[in-house]
Amino acid sequence: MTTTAPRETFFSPSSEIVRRRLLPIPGEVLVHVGDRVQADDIVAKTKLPGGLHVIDLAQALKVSVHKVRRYVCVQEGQEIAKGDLLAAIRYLGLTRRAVRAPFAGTVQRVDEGYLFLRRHPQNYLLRAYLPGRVIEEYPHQGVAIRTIGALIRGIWGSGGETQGILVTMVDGPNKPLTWRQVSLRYRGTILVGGTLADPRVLLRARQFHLHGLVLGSIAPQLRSLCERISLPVIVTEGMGYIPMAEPIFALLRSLHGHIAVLSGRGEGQDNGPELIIPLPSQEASEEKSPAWEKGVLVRITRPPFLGLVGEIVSLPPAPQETSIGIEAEGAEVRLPDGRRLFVPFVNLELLGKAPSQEKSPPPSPTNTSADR
Amino acid sequence: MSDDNKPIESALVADIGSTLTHVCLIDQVEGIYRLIACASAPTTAYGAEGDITIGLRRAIEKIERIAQRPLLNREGEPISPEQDTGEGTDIFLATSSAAPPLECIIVGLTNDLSIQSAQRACATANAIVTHTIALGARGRRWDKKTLALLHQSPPDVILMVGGVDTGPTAPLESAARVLANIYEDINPEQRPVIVFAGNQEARRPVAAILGEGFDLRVVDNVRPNAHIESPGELQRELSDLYSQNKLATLPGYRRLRRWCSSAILSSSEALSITLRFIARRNKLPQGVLGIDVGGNTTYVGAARSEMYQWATSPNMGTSYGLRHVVKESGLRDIRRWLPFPMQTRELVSYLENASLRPQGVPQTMEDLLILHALARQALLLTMRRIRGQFWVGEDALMRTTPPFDLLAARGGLLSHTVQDGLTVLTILDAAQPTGLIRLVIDWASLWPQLGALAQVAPLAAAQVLERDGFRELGTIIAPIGEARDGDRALHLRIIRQDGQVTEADIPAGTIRRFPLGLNEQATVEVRPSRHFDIGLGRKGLGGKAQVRGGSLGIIIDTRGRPLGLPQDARRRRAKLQEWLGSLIHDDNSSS
Repeated sequence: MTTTAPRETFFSPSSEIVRRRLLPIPGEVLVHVGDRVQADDIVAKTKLPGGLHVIDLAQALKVSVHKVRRYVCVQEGQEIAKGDLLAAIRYLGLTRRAVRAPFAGTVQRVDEGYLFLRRHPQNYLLRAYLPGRVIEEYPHQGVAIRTIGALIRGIWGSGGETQGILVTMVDGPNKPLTWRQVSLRYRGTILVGGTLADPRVLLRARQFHLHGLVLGSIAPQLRSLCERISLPVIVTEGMGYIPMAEPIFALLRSLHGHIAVLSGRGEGQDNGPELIIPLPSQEASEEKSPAWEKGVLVRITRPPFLGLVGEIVSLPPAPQETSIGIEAEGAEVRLPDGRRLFVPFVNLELLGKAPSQEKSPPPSPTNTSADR
Repeated sequence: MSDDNKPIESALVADIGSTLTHVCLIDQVEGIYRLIACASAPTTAYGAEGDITIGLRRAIEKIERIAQRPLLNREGEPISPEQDTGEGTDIFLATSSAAPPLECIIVGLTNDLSIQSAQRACATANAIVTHTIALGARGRRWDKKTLALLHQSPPDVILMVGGVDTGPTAPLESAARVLANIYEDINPEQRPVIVFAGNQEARRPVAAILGEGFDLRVVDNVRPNAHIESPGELQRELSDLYSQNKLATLPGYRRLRRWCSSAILSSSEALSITLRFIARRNKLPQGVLGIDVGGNTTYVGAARSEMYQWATSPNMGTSYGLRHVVKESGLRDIRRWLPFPMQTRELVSYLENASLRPQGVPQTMEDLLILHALARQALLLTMRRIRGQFWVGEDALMRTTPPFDLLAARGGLLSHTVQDGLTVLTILDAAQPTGLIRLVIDWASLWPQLGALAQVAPLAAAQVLERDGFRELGTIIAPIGEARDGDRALHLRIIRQDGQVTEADIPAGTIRRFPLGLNEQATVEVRPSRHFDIGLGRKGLGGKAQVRGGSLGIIIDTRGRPLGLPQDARRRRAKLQEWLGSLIHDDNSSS
């Protein structure tokens, strides 16, 4: 028997969103509690140790390991520039074999016939990612930033963090994004499409410097391409042909023209793939776990109803049997065509209430964000 | 915590798997320890909640509702010891398999002998070998890419092996110096653990190089000489490292550890205790074969007299481990187990979506059949590991599973599939048991917890296991051999306790089922044809045995061993449907 699924916000038209921004290693925090920040602002910085490059001097000089030291021209701990001579065999004043530094760095050690060369430390700059106000500072580590806006979590994502103007390219949640729709005029934007099956869309998106894609689903064979081209992409429903959930699509369409931030980071990250559209002028509820209640919209996450959005009509107090006899706690869900079916909680994702057009009219595309 | 002087009367035991957390309440009923209630909840190790104790509390709260007994205090912690009011239990114990496996890199001198022995030792642990570095293959020089990899992505463990005892130590010392230089600038806590299992003579110099700044563990040489393999200490060390370094990193582990009355065991270690106990307690001469197909780990253990053999396939299972099964098997091998046609594109989408939401449960028969296809592959690959590790060389049985008295199966999918026929077919297809073997299932997901319980309250564990731990599926008779489909494989005579006799000729290439209820026994006489051996060591040799019934009764599998599937997809699907149908429908036609 299976039981209640974890409760998670997958979609929220307007909520208070807090994101922690932390350095990978201790460094310097550049902003303070109360400061307003933009997505591109640097909030903290540090120096990351340079990578290690090992040069096999014994092999390069074609000498035995214990003879290497006599041909080494640098000292351990010495800083060197690119092209500096590291080791050389000279005969009668002529250099017969030489090994030069492939980049600037520090000689860490010469041992066992290898030269361990360390690159210079690299500056690491941590961006705010989320435009908003700094509400907490973690000394030498980072900050927490708060904003109000719409939040859409992806079930899968790739690529890094970005921001751009949200552009809804299709007129329905089941409509595919086509390569003809991706052109230079969308440079710097985040495009929204229902589904994606054409690799040319991804290639053109990279070619024309689009900042990201938000999709209902993508064909599974495009997954590796997405990962290779490092274009920030989030997928809200899954793999294959699954239309974007209608409430999510409606929200995105209503926010066409707004500035959005997108994170395609995969599993294991704090918040996973997500799209945030800051709407600082709106009133918002705290970003909190929704509840299993009658009237709440849910997304079914298992075949044969995968991707369908329905409404909870009852919550049986005791576990029920599914059609194949598995006993589970769940909800009775009404599908858009009026059918009712029992679905285990673990096969449902809460989408909350549908966005109400009366309560929060879509702002005009020019009214992007109070932060801007 | 329990009072040391008070005898343990009640226990709350939990197994935190990668997908589900199972909790069982054990208490005395009329002086006998019994399973009172069990419940499960999705494990909350990952995602937004990120704390294993959240899912654990949910499962305990369900038990509170079922048993009408408070088990958690106001702070949400298990009440222990049991109060006079009946609240709480005397002890709380936990096992877990929710942590990812240990990532290991093996550094050795030559690609054969020591490295292979180390790989075999890793196959028994919850460890994945991500790279093998054979220095001898490159004139004992490290290549640039390997060194960069070691530095950029330090594994959890580096296994240093190589050299026979009393052999030269210089190559291992050199390797140790290179490793020391690679990790010189990395924080000591982030450096990999180094387990040295090579030439004993090199222990001291290697310790002098790596002893400071590294967590260096020295164990017996896995290959003290060319003819002897000694993986025992290395296996134990890897098992300890998994518990100490991986389980301990689970979010919420420290809180869980505080709640527990004794150490948190890895689920596979606890299960091995239970399997050994079953073999010993029931005096089974041919022993027990235990199989556990989990969400992220598949495990096979064989307990015979004092011997225990096992193999683990980390990251291989029916939910979180699904992608790895696909990667290792390929889609073709998974699809061959489906009794219905399915396009590649459709199957890929299904598998991708199932891996994106690993905690989901199947809702249709097709959905369930795909998961069983994955379970078969995960189990087949793990059986291949244990066969390669331990059963090679058992002559005629080399390519087959040796005979056991009992096959004990568990794992979320196998335990929770309502259709016993499907569960049994998956086990028959993948484990391919031979001879006469009784089949039981861990219906309550209880066995690992009982292994942990046996460490502190052996009587309680034994009594619960015997009375409530098994669900009998039946007895399997599976002869070894090959014959043309339709040829007579064996003649069967079943004499029930009420004197009723059933006789049948069973053709080769079929599965037949004869009902024999739970708690019923019968005498079975089997006369195989000259092509089949029923586990007595000779083809054509017949025998008589007393068998026990179960939900499916007596199951005859004459498809032969090793099992072959028809190459033609249509014929194969028809066969799978026929076999599944045979296990679902009774066979009384020949009585």
